[in-house]
Amino acid sequence: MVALEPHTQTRRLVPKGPTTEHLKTGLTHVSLIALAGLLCAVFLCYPIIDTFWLSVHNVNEFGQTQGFSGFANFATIFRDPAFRGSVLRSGVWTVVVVGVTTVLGLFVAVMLNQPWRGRAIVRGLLLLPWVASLVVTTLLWQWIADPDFGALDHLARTLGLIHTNIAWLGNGNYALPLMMWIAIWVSVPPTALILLAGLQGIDRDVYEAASLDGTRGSRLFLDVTLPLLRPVLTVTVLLNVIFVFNSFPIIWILTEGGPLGSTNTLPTYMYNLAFELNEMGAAAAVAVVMFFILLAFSTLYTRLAWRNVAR
Amino acid sequence: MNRDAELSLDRIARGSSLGRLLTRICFGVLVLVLLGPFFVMLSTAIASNRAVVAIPPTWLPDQIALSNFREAFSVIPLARYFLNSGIIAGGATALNAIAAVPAAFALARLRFRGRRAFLIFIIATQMISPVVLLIASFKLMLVLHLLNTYWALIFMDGTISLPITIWIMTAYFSLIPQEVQDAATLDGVRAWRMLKDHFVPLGVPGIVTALIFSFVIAWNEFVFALTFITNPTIRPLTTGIYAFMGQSQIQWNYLMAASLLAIVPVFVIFLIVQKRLASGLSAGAVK
Repeated sequence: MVALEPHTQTRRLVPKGPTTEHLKTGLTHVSLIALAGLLCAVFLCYPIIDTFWLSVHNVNEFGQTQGFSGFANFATIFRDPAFRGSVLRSGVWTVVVVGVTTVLGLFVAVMLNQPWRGRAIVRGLLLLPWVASLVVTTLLWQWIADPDFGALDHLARTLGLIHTNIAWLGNGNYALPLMMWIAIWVSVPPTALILLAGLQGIDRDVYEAASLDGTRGSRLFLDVTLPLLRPVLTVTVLLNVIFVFNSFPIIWILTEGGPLGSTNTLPTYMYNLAFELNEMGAAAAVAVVMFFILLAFSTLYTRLAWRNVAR
Repeated sequence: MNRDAELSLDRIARGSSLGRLLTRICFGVLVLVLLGPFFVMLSTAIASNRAVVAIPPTWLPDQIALSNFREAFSVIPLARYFLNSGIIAGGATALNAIAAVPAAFALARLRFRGRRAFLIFIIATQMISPVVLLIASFKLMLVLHLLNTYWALIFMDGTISLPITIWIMTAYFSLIPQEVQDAATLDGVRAWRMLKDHFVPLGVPGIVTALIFSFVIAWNEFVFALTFITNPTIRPLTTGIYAFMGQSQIQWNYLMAASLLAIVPVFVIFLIVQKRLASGLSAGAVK
């Protein structure tokens, strides 16, 4: 991945020899990257900078700044118990969802890497949770969790697990675990399919050599497969963390962070602050906090992950 | 490697037979859990208005109403939403293509000042999520008078997927043999022409893979659409279906029929290019 190994990437990309002499017309090069650079500058960089700007100003509901306010917005949100709760819930949400997703995704990938009848069909069908938009899958789960006619309570009753139907979304203690499960459920298939591609990229000769050495079964997996899969695994974890931490539609559609804020994570807390309560400045401060949490994580994670690989 | 050798290797890899049986049972259950909800979607989508609210619920509806798929179009303005999603996702993908292809080519094959900085910039932006951008981009669209237009979503969706499409295309372009570039350079071919005549034709698999990503991201995008578009006539499918759910007693059989229809186009595209897609991602990953 480019992000994780900038040095080798750079070296590989640069064409060797004097062949690029003719191409060294600066204007051409600028024109090639101009549109991409412009779009990123206007629609990615400017909003980010503006978010930082807003976070240290008093902002009215139309997003107009009305004077510098220092860290007042940050002080406001740090004082808010709902913010602290959201930080905690975001942490648990991300760790649990990404952790379970990675384990299940790896399991599915390993199974799909073995030949058995019907494998192609299952692999094809596993695309479904991936391609369906989160709106569709979330609505589907809302229907499944319906306390009167839903399949979830029906299944649990059939299996004898419960005797009275549970209103899954009416209670924070049930709603959050259910939403975590939905997030896992949509994340496992893409994770599995990317890991599968990684597994298929491992040279068969490696296994042959290992089996000649007498390595068998789970040792083969732990000592040969896992280390070789590590770069791909690293990337999927990083991408999943970014994606899951920022996950918004599942919670917003099902509970909007409720009941009574008991299912708020940072994205829904921020959205509520910005577009329901019109506290644009404080909401921008939340966005800045989210930005730094992810930045800190990505930096630390890529450092650690690649140090281990290099060793 | 032939099939026999593959099978024998596989046997080595799997271990004891009891463990193998347990593993298979676990896998079977997991697949059922992953796919079961779509069975519910299908069985609800074909259930009659009476069957869908049966108590106790049934796994298969005792009254089938295929007319749900037609009804869904009259109850929800689905045709309009499909058109809107098509315009937005198509526009975003087109914008993405004209920006990403030359940029990826330059990053993969040319040496220029600021190239490294641009690469790092692209990588860093990958971390930025729609949610973090939401407040300031809402303000930006307000100032540009683009709220409640297709353009707001075309610009945002087309840009938000730029880092990943540039990344995938760069990986592909850098795999094209150096001889292609050398030969063209000797003939005095300039960058844009070289891109058009040599690298685009050779890089089609990578370009297509990347653009499918762009299309699907735009087709399924929710947060920007929710915030930028309040006019029902230009809503895409995602927020359209969501709005329908909010305004009335939900008729789940129509909603599931509509959802099923919304999934089909994307599913078919994915199915066709499945192999290429996963390998495209990991090509980006292991590079």
